[in-house]
Amino acid sequence: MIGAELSHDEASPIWDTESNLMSEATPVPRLLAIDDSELIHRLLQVRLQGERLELHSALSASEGIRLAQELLPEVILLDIELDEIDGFEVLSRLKQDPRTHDIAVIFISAASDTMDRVRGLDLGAVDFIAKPFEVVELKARVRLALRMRHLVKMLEHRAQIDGLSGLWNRRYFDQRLSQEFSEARRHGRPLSLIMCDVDRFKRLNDQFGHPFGDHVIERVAQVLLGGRGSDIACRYGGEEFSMILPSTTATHAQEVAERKRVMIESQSWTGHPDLVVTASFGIADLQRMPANATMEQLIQSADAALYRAKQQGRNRIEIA
Amino acid sequence: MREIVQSFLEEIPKRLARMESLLAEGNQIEFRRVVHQMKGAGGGYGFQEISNAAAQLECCMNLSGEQWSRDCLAHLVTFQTLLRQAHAGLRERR
Repeated sequence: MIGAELSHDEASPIWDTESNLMSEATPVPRLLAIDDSELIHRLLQVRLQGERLELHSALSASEGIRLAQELLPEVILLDIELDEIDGFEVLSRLKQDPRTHDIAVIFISAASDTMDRVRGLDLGAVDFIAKPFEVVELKARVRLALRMRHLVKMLEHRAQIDGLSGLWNRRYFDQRLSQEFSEARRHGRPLSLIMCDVDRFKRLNDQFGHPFGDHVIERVAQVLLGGRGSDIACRYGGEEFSMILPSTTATHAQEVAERKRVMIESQSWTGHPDLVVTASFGIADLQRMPANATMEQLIQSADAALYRAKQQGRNRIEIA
Repeated sequence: MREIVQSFLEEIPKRLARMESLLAEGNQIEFRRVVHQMKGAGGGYGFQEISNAAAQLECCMNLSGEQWSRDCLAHLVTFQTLLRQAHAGLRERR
C-alpha cells in the first residue's frame, strides 16, 4: 500500500497523533474571535500570545462573517450576544455558506443559559465555553476543535482514496475532472486525459491468483503516482486507471504515458522472472475536441483511443 | 499581561462615568451592554468579583425590566464599589 496522503500534490498533512496537531510541521491555524467587547479581544491577544495560532478579531457580526469568508479560519470563537444580529444567526449563516460550512465554531455563552447552549450545538457549533471563561480552558477547547477538524479532514481525504492502490478513487476523479474541465474551458488552457488499462489482466489473475493481481494493481499505481506533482492519478475501476493532466497538451501527455508504459513493462516480478506485465494507453486532449464537447465526451474519446491501442496489439499509446 | 490589566484599571473611571450618563439618559439597553461586557471580561483580567457582581446586576435587570427593584440598585452599588476599589488598588500599587 502506498502512502497516497503524502504523495499527492494537494495532500493535507497527516494528523495521526495528538502531538502532531499543534506542531511545527503543520501550518499555523487561524482563529477568528467574534465578540463586540474590545476588552475580550485585548485579553485574548495577550493570553494567546506564544500559542501556535494566528488570532484575528471582529467586533461585530457583519465584520465577523466577512472575515470568516475572507480568511477561512480553522476555528471561530463566537459570542452569542452580538449587536446587530445575534451569534445564532451568524452561526447559521456560516453553516449555510459552503465556504465557511466546515469551520469549527466554538461559541461563548453565559454559564446559566442551558437552552442557548443546546441551540448553538444543534445549529452546528462544535463546542461552547461559558463566560466569563478561564483562558486555559479556552485554549484546551480550541485544541479540541482543531483536533476534530483535522480528523474530519482526514476522513474526507480517506473517503477519496482507493484502498488497494492508494490512488484517488473514482468519486474523486469525477469531481476533479469536472473541476479541471471547467477551469480549462474558462481560461482556454489545455487539458489532457490518459486512460490506462493493464493488458490481459484477467489472464494474470487466473494464472497467478487474485493476490498477485492485487499486487500488479499496487505496482502499476506506484508507477502512475511517481513523476510530475501536477498529474492526478486515479483508479478508474478494476484494472483501469486514469490520469488528469491539467495545462498539458496531447504531445506532452504522450511523453508522460510513454515513460509510464516503459516503466510498467520493465518491472520485475518476484517469483516470476520471465513475466512481463504491460499496459495500454489512450489519450484525449480537450484542445483537439469540438468547442462544445462535454466532459463525458472527453472521457469517451480517451476510452476509444485506449480501445484502439488494445486492438492494435496492446502495450502502446494511442491519441484520440 | 500586566499592561492590559493596567489599562483595564485605568479605563474604570471612564466606564463608571459612561454608566452614570447612560443611567441618566435612561438608556437601559446600552447600560446593560456595558455591564454584560464587564461580566465577560472582568474575570479574565483577574477580577472575578467584578464579573460576579456584573452577572448579578445583569440577572436582576433581566428580571425587573424597566422599573428597577431595590435588589437591583443594591447590586448596582456593589458593582460600582468594586470597580472603584479595583481602580483605587491601581493607585496604591504605584
